[in-house]
Amino acid sequence: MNKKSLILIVILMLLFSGKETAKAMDLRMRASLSAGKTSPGRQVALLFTIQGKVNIEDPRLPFVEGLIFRDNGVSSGKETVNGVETETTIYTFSVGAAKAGTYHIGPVLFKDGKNVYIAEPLILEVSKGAQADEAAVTKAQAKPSSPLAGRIFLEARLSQEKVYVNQNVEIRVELFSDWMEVMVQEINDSLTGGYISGKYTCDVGESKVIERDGTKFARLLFKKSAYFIEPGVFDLGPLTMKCDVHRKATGLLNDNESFYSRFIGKNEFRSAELPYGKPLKVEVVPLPAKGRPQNFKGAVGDFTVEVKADRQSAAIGESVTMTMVISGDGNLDTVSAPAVKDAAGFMAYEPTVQRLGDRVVAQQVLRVQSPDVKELPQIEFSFFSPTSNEYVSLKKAPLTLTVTGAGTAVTSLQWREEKKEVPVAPSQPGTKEKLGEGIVYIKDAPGRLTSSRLDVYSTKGFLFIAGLPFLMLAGAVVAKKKLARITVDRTYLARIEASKKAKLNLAKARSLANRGPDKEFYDQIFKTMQEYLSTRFLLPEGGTIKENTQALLCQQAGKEPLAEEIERIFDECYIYKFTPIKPGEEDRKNTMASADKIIKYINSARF
Amino acid sequence: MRKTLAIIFFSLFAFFAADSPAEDTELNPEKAFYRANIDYEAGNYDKALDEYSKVLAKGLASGNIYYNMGNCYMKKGRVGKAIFCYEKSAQYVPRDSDLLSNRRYAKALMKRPDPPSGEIKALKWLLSSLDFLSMKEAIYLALLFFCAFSVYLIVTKVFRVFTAFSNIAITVMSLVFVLLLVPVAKKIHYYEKGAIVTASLTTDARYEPLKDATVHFTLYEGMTVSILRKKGDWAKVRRSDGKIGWVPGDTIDIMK
Repeated sequence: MNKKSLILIVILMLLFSGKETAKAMDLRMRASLSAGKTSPGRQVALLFTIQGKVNIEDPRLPFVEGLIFRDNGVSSGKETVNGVETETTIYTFSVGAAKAGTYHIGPVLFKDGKNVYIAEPLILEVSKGAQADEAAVTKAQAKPSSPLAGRIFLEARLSQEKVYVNQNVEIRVELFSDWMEVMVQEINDSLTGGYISGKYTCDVGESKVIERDGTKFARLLFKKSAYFIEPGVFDLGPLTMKCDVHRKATGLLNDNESFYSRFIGKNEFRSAELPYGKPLKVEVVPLPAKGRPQNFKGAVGDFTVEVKADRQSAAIGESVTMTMVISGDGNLDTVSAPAVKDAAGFMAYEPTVQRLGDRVVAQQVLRVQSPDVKELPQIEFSFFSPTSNEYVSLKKAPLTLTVTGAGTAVTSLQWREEKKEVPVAPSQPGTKEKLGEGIVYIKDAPGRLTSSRLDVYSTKGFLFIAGLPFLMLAGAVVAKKKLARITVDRTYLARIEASKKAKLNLAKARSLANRGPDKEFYDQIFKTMQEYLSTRFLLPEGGTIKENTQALLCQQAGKEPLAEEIERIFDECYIYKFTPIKPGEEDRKNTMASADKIIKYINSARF
Repeated sequence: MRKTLAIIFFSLFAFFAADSPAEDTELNPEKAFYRANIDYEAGNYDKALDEYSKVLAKGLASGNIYYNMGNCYMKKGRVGKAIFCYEKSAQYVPRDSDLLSNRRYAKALMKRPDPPSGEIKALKWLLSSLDFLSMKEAIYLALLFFCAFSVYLIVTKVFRVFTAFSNIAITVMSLVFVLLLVPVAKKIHYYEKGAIVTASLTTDARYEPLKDATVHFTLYEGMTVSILRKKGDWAKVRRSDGKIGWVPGDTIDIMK
């Protein structure tokens, strides 16, 4: 092999090896868990980070019995790594298990056309009371692979890592961003049960610029207070912040921005979930039993109490209101009304408590019952001070009270008996009798129970009754008009009377139609027709009704068939009444139907 | 024709028949009432209130139940709530002397009474003329009068019977009816829109339904207000002197 050939071979080898190197640098994949250890029911983040230009299908996770996966979506962007701008795609899942055990995840395959890439398998240990794997967390924190990594991140801390039950602890979450506009949607500290907290608040006044590794970041501080209601060791986290990130082209830019993006401008807008993988641990210890005052009700903090009364003098039976304001540094949620010591000579009502943000206001109403009292009862408020690690009982000196007016002591409220006042005997003759005041006793029986709805005016029954007069009015007007017409219009009256008579007669005829003797039936038909026609047409009853009716009807155009029908009925009546000819069943039916039809027709017609 | 009318009449009546309160087959309201009374005597006012509330939750009520609830709240020092219960009781048994006495006493304990409304005496007298009647009694009285007036009108004007001095009688009856409607309307308005301030201290009425809005005036426990409007957790109210402001909805109890 000559020298030239050797050189050619070396060149070719370099070329091909370079390509492989370049190919290796085209795509880098890494699988990671935010924590290698977790507890049942707690989820950890599973990330697949792919650096390089890819056109891969979404990965399909293998089935692992006992593990529950949740797809949290994919994010992509560009980042500069060692001066080279590369594309990065991150697939994010949540994974958790209901039962303890060791779970093997993967390996997960990614396909990019013909090429298949394999992510390394991961192990997740699930055990009760397990803490997050600090190493894995540190790894996630140290080498974040999000496009926003290094530009926006969280730091969280507690004001104290060891607190008492009911003692306030402050959770501080700092958001650092290199001048990106961030709209925080939600901060989740992943702790359920055992503690009570408010919401995260952000005081814009506490924002400042902080320099880290030569880069200036804008820092926003989110705080919230929480307290634990039971002792134990608690993990707050992993803490995540969901936010929308918008990076504007104008305004302050990071020193690392390229010359191009400074002037041309670059915008990116994305939803992000920023993790703070290291959990915050807090140990909650119980309040000591030694030295606990009897009237201690759970208040923890350092407090002061102010007491005032709404009056300095009162008569027997009158009330005095003591207002107690408790303020200070501590958990005001655990503050309740201070105890009233030795309220002899007073009747103490149940105190009311109002929480006003930075203080608690309690009001105690006391009714004066004895003339011997000289001062209001002493107030005592006990709390536990975490500063001095001991219980503190604040006793406020009693306020003076002057009881005005003479009178005997009232040992109980005055009750009325049988609705008569029982007067208090005057202590001195000639003085005006002072009567005690109080409420009359409760009722012994429930009384008449009715519907609790009093709006009877909206019920259907009421509306019906209310509408009745209007119906009556309408009916009365119609009736009056009818009455008036009857008085004036003879034809109208005749029509009404004829119709009434015909109805009765036809009913009788119908009853005879099926079972009555022929003679009686046809007699009834004859009577019906005769009475009806004579009344209807104001004709005298008598033998000429048929002819007169016929003549009347024939005067009306087109009424000949009707006249013929009437004649036929009358003729039938004559025949079957006065001759031995027997009618058939059909004949009676036809006669009945004809009579009915004629009367109905004439009733409806306006002759 | 008559038959048809009768059928229509009875069908309409059946259709419009008033609803009767559904009685619970499980809870015995009387037993609940007596249990509550026992709790009251034992000083367990909260338990007593719970028992009374159980009866109310079933859609039943009486003046005595509300009266006893008012007494419970008086024992607890909740004057506003007590006044509210006494006012509710008055809608059922307005003539009960014990109720009148306790209500008067509770109102005397108010830190500040209702400011004067500025109405003329005659109007005030008219508005309170039917206070001795419960709401149902007042409404039925108005209805009865209306029906009687209508019948008289029909008889005299349509059928022209008893026409002597009918015009004068109709005028007088119309006037009486209108005057009767005024206190009835007031009762209905109080039931529909009335409320009592039950906040344990005071409550501020603001210009807007916002926590940081400017305070317009203060309402004290036990004061009576009218609800003008509701928006979310806020209510727009008018005080007796006509001042209007927004208060949180949980500081007032509505009569209806």
